[in-house]
Amino acid sequence: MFKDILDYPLDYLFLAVLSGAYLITVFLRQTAPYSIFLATSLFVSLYFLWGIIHHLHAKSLHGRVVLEYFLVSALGIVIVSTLLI
Amino acid sequence: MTLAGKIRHWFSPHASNNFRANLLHNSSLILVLGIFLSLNLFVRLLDNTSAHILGFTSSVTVDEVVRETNATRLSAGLSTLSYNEKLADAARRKAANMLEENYWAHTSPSGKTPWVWFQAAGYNYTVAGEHLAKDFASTSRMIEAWMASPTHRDNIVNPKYQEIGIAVVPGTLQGSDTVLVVQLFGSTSGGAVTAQAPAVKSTPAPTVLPAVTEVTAPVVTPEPVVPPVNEIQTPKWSEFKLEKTLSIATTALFILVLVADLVMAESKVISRRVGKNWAHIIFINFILLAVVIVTAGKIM
Repeated sequence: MFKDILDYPLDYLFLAVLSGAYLITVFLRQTAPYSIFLATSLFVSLYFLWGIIHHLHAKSLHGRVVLEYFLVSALGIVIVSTLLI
Repeated sequence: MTLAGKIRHWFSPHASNNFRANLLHNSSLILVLGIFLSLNLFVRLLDNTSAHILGFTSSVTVDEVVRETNATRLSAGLSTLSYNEKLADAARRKAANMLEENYWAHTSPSGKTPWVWFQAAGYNYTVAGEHLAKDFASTSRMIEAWMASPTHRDNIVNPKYQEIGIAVVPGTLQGSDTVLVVQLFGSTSGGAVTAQAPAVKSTPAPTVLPAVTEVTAPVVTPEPVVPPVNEIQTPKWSEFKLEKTLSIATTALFILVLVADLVMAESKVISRRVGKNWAHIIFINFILLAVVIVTAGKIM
């Protein structure tokens, strides 16, 4: 079940650090909508890039996979943005 | 396909969905995005708010605050408040002082009460009140927050008030960029009481937090009929709460489906060329936490 994490620990460590930094930013700027929007935009963009780089490492990159990361990232920013706008 | 079959098709990997929960297919993700955006649009239309087109900082305007405050009063069976430039001047002075002395309170660190600004602007009140708000993206959310607070609601639907003054001031407060809103209520009616106001100023000030109201002299005019509080329409579900619930439900559903898909794919040793479920779970979880943390704004 944890095979992918154990195979690519550095990739997941980076993702965990990135996610933690995002959450700390949101927590510290929770009443500043514009800051949260910027932080979320950066987070989802980096997640999209992380997905591509991770699948390159795993030699499993495919057009459908890129589209999947794009859509999941888009869902993430849309969910947060609707609360800010 | 039976109901159980449909559930299996949408939520767990199976031969019918190419061994990937159908909800996680790209076409379904596009569908979910569309449904989510449509539901949000529907919630906003239900709430009858103006379009939030002015950007992410804030779309709060003086006119909107006056209009929505008066709409709330009308729905409570009260008369509308007229905009008073002296009250607006007092509100701007208060906002400027808050930014200058860098505080978020009704009384400044140097001891200036809200009533100082009324007097400085030359507004001789018989009854007065002050509301503060910051960080709100829209006027409707701000009014909803005030109406959800009993003390603020009492001020908004107070029949003694006749005039209103608003200041909407962007600035940096306590290290954060914000849009500060000061809403002042007042009335100068009540016969000779205006001239007597300084004489009765020693009357102890009423409770300052969270909403401030001061009466310096009794209002001698007949009081309008005040509807019982339980007749005032306060929405149990605001636009923000609905949107937040929708966001939490969507993210929680995705996390559940991703976990179920991961567990079943691992148990059946299915090899697929798809995105990594663990990565999606981590990402969506942090989005969920962010949604929980985000607030509509602060009132006082």
